[in-house]
Amino acid sequence: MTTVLVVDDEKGLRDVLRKVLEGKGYRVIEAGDGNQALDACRREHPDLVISDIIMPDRDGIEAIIAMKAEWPAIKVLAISGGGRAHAMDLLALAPRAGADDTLDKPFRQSELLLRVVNLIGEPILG
Amino acid sequence: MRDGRDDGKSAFWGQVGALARKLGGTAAPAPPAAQVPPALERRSPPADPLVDFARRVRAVFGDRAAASAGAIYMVNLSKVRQALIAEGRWDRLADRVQNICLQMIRQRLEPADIFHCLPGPIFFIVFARLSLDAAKLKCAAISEEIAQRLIGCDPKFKDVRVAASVAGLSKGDITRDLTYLMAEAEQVMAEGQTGPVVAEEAAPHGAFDNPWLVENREGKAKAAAVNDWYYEAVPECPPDLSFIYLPLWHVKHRAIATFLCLPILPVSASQSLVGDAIFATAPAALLCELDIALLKKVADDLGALLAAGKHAALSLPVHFETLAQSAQRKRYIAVCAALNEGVRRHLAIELVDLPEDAPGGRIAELLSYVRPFARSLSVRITLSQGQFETFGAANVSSVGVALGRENLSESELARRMNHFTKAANQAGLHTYAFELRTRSITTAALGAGFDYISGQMIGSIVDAPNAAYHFEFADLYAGLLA
Repeated sequence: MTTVLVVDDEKGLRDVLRKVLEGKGYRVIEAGDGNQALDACRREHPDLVISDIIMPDRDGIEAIIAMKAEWPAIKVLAISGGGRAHAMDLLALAPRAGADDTLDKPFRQSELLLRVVNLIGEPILG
Repeated sequence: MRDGRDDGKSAFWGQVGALARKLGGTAAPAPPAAQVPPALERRSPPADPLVDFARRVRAVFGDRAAASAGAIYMVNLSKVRQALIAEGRWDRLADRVQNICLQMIRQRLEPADIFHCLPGPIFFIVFARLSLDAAKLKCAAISEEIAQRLIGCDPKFKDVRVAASVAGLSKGDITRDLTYLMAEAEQVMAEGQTGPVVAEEAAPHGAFDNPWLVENREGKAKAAAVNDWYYEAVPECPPDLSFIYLPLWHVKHRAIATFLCLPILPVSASQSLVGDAIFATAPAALLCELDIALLKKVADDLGALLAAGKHAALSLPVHFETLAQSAQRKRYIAVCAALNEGVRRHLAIELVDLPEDAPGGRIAELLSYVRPFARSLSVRITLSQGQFETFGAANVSSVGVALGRENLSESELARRMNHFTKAANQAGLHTYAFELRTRSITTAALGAGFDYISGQMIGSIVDAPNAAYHFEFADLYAGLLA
């Protein structure tokens, strides 16, 4: 089953993304910070990681660098913004860290799904 | 020892009696002037180690190089012991705790220094070559290191302290004075008390010229008033004080354009105290000297920088107490007034160590004294302090926090940083944060909107300030990005 790991320190956003992605047929797992994200990758081998950038306990850029070093095949969509200062400046670094795509917060549901499908295709049900 | 020694003894025994009554025992009778009471004889340590230690202390005090002659420094772990007893771990860990302490103290001491260990554990230390101030700082540093090693950031032990204190010894009868000190310490331990008897009673140790004067950390403010006379004769900075600079990132301008000057004090061949670690342990009377030394150093370095055609701002802290005390303020302002216009245009002064309850009007008044001499004024507070309107009214340009000692999770720290910057911005203030230790906390500070930040990801300390230079977001991940 196609698995998406959603990494964000805001639970509200994780809940929204879970609903959207599960509604489309993806399996969704969650992490609240960069360290938890790496643990989840080790355990679950997700197909796609959607990761925030400004997070406690290993930020998104550091987490993406570590993920891509250990699991180069994992696709990464970096997200940031939402009124945080300098979020866009940091998001601009994500491709250099290994992110396959970026998306500014806030974003439309359709925009998110388009990026997800572009990166990992339609969900494969297991 | 002063003439009033017998009176002091009476006071001492009065306190011992009070303690005995408090514990439900019988008050010890006042001893004859030249007689050690039976209770203490029973509790005194074996004579040989004491006599040997006294002999060595006497030898140190007889050496002209022993600037701290007359003072014996104590590191007291009785509160650590109590915490471990409460957890049922003391019996298992006692030897290990003592060995760790012994190891750390030995590493810190020079060959001529001497120490003696009681099973408190309480350690008596005599520094053979240091001035009183330097010895005091070193003793505080030792206690801090031991606390870090044994307690760390464990929230369970957040109220547990390793106490550092100093007492005086007479040159005439060191053995007797040591007997009293050790007996008192042993009594504390035998009765299951958790700290120095006299410190707990908040009264001076009558048997000695210099009682338990200072307890590290939270006891500092209370002890400072008692302590002033002791340091009056030695207002100079430790002679081996030197200085370093921390780069401060102006985020909006993508530039390291300010360098923060901090004192550095070597306390052993391989270790030094830096910045707040010195300020936090220095006696009140020494703070002004440190502030003036910093100001002179910054003025010199800024003058040299400008003469070389390089431009950067230099920032330095000044303590609330320095400006609050009239005599100290006059001395500080006199140095400020001698600064030339070029230096003033590149100088940023940061008011630090504000009492929690300092009135806004008083803060504004103190800031007004230094405003003519600086390009900008800032105030360092804590994440929980919030007199932002006051600072705004006092023409403060920015408020900031040093996060190194905040014992919070990164997520909680991020939450509080967001709150801090929002409230400060509403009062029209810029914000800064020092001591950002990780990338994630650095990016959290950026996300919270701090205008100026400093920490391990921004740049290492430098010996001398340099011209302003560019620093981009990508530089936070130097060597990691493609």
